[in-house]
Amino acid sequence: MTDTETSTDLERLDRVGEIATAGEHQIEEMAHAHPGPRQYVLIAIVLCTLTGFEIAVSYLDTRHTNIVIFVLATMAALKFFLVCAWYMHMKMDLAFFRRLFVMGMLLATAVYGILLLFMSSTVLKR
Amino acid sequence: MTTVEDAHALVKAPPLRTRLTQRPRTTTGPFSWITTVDHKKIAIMYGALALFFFLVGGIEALFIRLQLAQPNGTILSAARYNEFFTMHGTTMVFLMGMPLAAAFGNYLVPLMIGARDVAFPRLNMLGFWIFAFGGIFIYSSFGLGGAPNGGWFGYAPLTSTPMSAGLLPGRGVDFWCVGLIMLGIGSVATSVNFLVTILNMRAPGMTMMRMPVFVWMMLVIAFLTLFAMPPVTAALIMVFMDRNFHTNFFNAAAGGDPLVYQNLFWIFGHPEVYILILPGMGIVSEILPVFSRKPLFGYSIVVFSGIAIGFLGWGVWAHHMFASGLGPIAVSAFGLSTMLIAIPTGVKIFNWLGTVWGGAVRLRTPMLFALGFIAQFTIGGLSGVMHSIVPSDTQQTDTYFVVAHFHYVLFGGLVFAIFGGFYYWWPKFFGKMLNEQMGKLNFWLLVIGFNLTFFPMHFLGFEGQPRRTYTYPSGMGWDTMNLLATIGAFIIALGVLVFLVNVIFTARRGEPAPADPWDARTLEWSIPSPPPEYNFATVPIVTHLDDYWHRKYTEDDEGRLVKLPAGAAIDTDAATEAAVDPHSIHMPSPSYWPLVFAMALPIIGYGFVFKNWYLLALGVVWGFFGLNGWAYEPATEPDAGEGH
Amino acid sequence: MAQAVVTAGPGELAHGGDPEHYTNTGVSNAKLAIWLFLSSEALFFGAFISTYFLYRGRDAQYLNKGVQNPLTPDRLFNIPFTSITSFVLLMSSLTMVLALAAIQRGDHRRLRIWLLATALFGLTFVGGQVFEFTEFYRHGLHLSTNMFGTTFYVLTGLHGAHVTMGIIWLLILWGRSMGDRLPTEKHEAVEIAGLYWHFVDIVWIFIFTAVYLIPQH
Repeated sequence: MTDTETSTDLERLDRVGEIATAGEHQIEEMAHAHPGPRQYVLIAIVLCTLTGFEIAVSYLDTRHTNIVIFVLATMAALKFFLVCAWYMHMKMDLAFFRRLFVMGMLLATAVYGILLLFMSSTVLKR
Repeated sequence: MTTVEDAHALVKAPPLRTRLTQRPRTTTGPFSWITTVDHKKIAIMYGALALFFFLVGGIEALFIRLQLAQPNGTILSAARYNEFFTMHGTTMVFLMGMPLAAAFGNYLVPLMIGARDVAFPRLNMLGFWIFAFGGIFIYSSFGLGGAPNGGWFGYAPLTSTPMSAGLLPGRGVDFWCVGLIMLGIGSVATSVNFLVTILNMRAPGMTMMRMPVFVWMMLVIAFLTLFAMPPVTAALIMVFMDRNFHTNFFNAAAGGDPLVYQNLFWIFGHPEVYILILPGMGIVSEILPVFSRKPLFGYSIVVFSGIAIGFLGWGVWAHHMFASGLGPIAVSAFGLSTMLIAIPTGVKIFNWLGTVWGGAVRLRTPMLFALGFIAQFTIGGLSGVMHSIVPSDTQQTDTYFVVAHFHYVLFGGLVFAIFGGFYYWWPKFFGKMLNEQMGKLNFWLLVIGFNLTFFPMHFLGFEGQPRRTYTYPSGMGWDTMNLLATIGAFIIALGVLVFLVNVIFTARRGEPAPADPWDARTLEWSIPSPPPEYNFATVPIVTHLDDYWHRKYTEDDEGRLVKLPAGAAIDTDAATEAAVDPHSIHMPSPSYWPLVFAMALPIIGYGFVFKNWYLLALGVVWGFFGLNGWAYEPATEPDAGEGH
Repeated sequence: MAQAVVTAGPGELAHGGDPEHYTNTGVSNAKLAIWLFLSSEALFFGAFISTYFLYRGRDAQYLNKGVQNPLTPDRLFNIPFTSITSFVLLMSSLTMVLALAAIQRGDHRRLRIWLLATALFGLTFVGGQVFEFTEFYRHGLHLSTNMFGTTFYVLTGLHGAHVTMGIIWLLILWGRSMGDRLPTEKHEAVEIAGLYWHFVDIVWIFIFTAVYLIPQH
C-alpha cells in the first residue's frame, strides 16, 4: 500500500474494501472442500508405510551409518510434512501463515543446527 | 446479531453458579483492578509493579556500590554479595525490563493500531498475575533459606551441583530456576497475545507499513520472546533436575559439559537483550519525530533494521562465550556475526539523527531522555563492537568493562527511553502532565549520576578489576574510580527520587492534560486523556502512516504545514463522542479466573522447591480448577456493555 | 475486541460474520494463537533433542567405561514394542482429523467416537511408555545412572507429559460433546485441540527416529 498525501473519500472506501477482500477470501477458504475422510486415510497409509520402511532400515546392519541416518532423517521429514500439510491443514491455509511457519522452522533448525555442529565437532570431542 | 448471544442460547449454563462464583461486573473502584481485563488498567499495574521492582533492584545496586566504595569493604559478606548481585541482575532483567515493555506495549499497542483491546484480555491479565506471583516467589527466597546466588545467568556446574555438595549455600538456585520458568510462562502467554493482536486486530487501512515503529518493535520482541524462552526453560529444567534428581546434564564425571548449559542459556540470553532494548528503541522512535516536528527519517529502514536485529540476534549468542574454549572457527564465526549486527543498529542511530536534524526541536523532558538514549546507547554500542573483536574480548570478558558496556545500553539506553516514555505518555495514561521543571532535574541528575557511575567502569575493566567479586584489595589503583562510581550511584538514586516526587506531586496538583498535549502523530493522541474503556468511539479508518498527523495537518504548495479544520480530528470532538452511545460498545467482561489460575503456579513452585509432593498435587488440582472455570466462561457476558 | 466464543459453520466468515471480529490475516485469533504456541514448543523439544544428540555415546568413555553389562540403548530398547506404540500414536492423528471432519459436517456421534478413539490410542501410547520406563528401571537404568538415562528419561518423559495433557484435553472435549455442550459452531475448539495433538505426534516422529532408530555406534 503506498502512502498518499491527501485522503479522499475514494481512498477511504478502498481501505474499507480491504475488509471485503479478506472476507471474500475467507469465504472462499471455507467453501473449498477440506480433504475428506478418504484422503485422510490415504495419508495414514502413507505414514504407516514410511514408518515401516524406517524400522526396516534401522535393522540393517551396515557400516554406512551416515546413509542410514540420511534415509531415516528424510523419512521423518516426509512424515512431518504430511502431518503438517494435511492433518494440520497447513496446505490449505493462507500463504502468509505458511511463510511465517517456514521462517520459524528455518530459524529454529538453523540455531540448533549451528549448536550441534560446533559443539560436536570441537567441544565435545575432548 | 452477535454470535456470542446465539452461542449462549445453544450452550447450557454451567452448573454451580452460586453468589460466590458469580462473575464480577464492576469496572470501577479498587476491587475492579483485581478482576479487570482492560489492557489499560493491566498496563498500569505492570508499570507500577515494575517500578517497584526497579526500586528494589536499585537498592540492591546501592548496597553493591556501598560494598565496593572502598577496598576490603565490610558492608556485605561474600555470601550476601552473591545474593545481591544475582538478584540485582535477575530483578532488572525479568522484573523491571520485560514487564515495563509489557506495560507500555499493553497500554499503547491497541491504541496505536486502532483496536479496543488485545486479542485475549483474560490471558493478558494472567500475564500480569504470573509476573506478580513470580516476583514474589523469587523474593520470598530471602526468608526461606537464602536468595538465588549463582548470578543472573546461573552457570552450571556451580548451580547444578546438588545442594548437599555445599558449593552454593541454600536453595536460592531452586527458587531461581522455578521462578524463572514461571515468569517465562507468563512472558510466552503475553507474547502470543501481542502477536495475535498486532497481526489480526489492526483497524481498517492500518497496513503493517503504517504501524508506528513502537508497534513493530513489540511485534519483533514478541517473536523473540516466543522463541527464546523455550531454550532457557530447558536449561533451567536441566539445572533443577541435576540439583534435585541427580541427573547428569552437567555432571562432568558422566560426560556432562557445562558448555551445553552456556549455549542453551545464551541462545536465550542474547535475543533477551534485544527483547529488552527494542521497545526502548520503539519509544525513542515515537518521541523524536514529535519533538522535532518532522516525520521519522526512513521509517521503512528503521522497521527493517528492527527486524534484521531480531533475526541476526539469533546468530551471535556465543559471543558471551568467547573465553570458554570453543575453538577458533566458532569464535571467528560468532565474532563476525556480532560485528554484522552493529550495522542495522547503527543504521537506526543515523535515522534518529536524521529525524532531529533540521527539525523544529523542542527540548522538553521526553526529548531530553530520547536524546540521552541516543548518546549513551551509542557509547554502549561502541564498547559492544569492541567486545565483538575476539582477542580484545578475551581481555575484556569478566572485567568491569563488560559491566560498563551493558549498563550503558540497558540503563543509559533502555531506562532512559523508559523515563522518556513516562514523561511522554503520562498525560495520556493519567490525564495529567508530569511537572516539567522536576522532569528536567530528574533528567540531569540521571545523566550525571549514570555517567559518573558507569563511565569509570570502562577504565576499571581495563585496569583488571574482575566482575562478581565482593571486594578488592587496596593498592590495585581501583580505589578512586570505585568511589566515584558509588557517588554516581547515589546521584542516580536522587534522580529517581525526584521522579517519584514528581509522580506524587502530579497526582495531587498536576496540570490537567488535553487529548493531544504534544501535537503528536499517532492514533493514541486522537482520543481523550485518559481514554475511555472502549478506547475509540468509532473505529478509525486509517489512510496514512502517522494517520493522526494527517488528520490535523496538510501541506501547502511550498511544503509548509497547514492546519486542517477541527472537524478533521477524530474522537476528540465532543460531538463525535456524543453521537455514539458507549453502551452499545461491548467490551470483554471482568473475570476472577486469571487470578485464580495464576495462584496455582507459586503453589506448584513451592512444591517443587521444597519437594513437597502434596503441595505440588494441590497446585496442579488448583490449576485445573482455574483452567476449567476459565474455559467455561465466555469472554464477554451477553448482558455486558451496559452501565460502564 | 471481544474474543469470539463461537466460530461460524462452513459457508460463513470464520469470525462469525460480524465485522467486529474481522481479522487482518484471515485466520481466527484462537487458531493463530495455538500455532504460535506450538512454534514455541517446537523450540522447547528442540533443546532437549539437541541435548540428547550432543550427549549421545558419551557413556562409553565415562560412566559405562569398564562396566560389565553397560546400560546402553541397543541393549535396552525393544524396537518392535516401541514400533507398535509409535504406530498407535501415528494412527491417533488420523482419528483426530476424522473427529474434526465429523464435527465440521455436524456428525456429533462420529465426533465422539473419533475423539474417544484418539484419547484411547493416546492412552495406549502412554501406557506403552510407562511399561517401557518400568522395564528399563527394572534393568537398573535410572535418571542418574548415566547420560543415556538422564537424556532419555527427561526427553521422552516430557513428551509423555505433553501427550497426557492432550489426552485430558480430548476427554474434556468428549465430555462436553456428551453433555450437548459442543455444538457444530464450536468446531474450532476441536480443530485447536487437533493442532496440539498433531504437534505432539510430530515430536514423537522425530524422537522415535532420532532416539530409537538411528544406529548406536
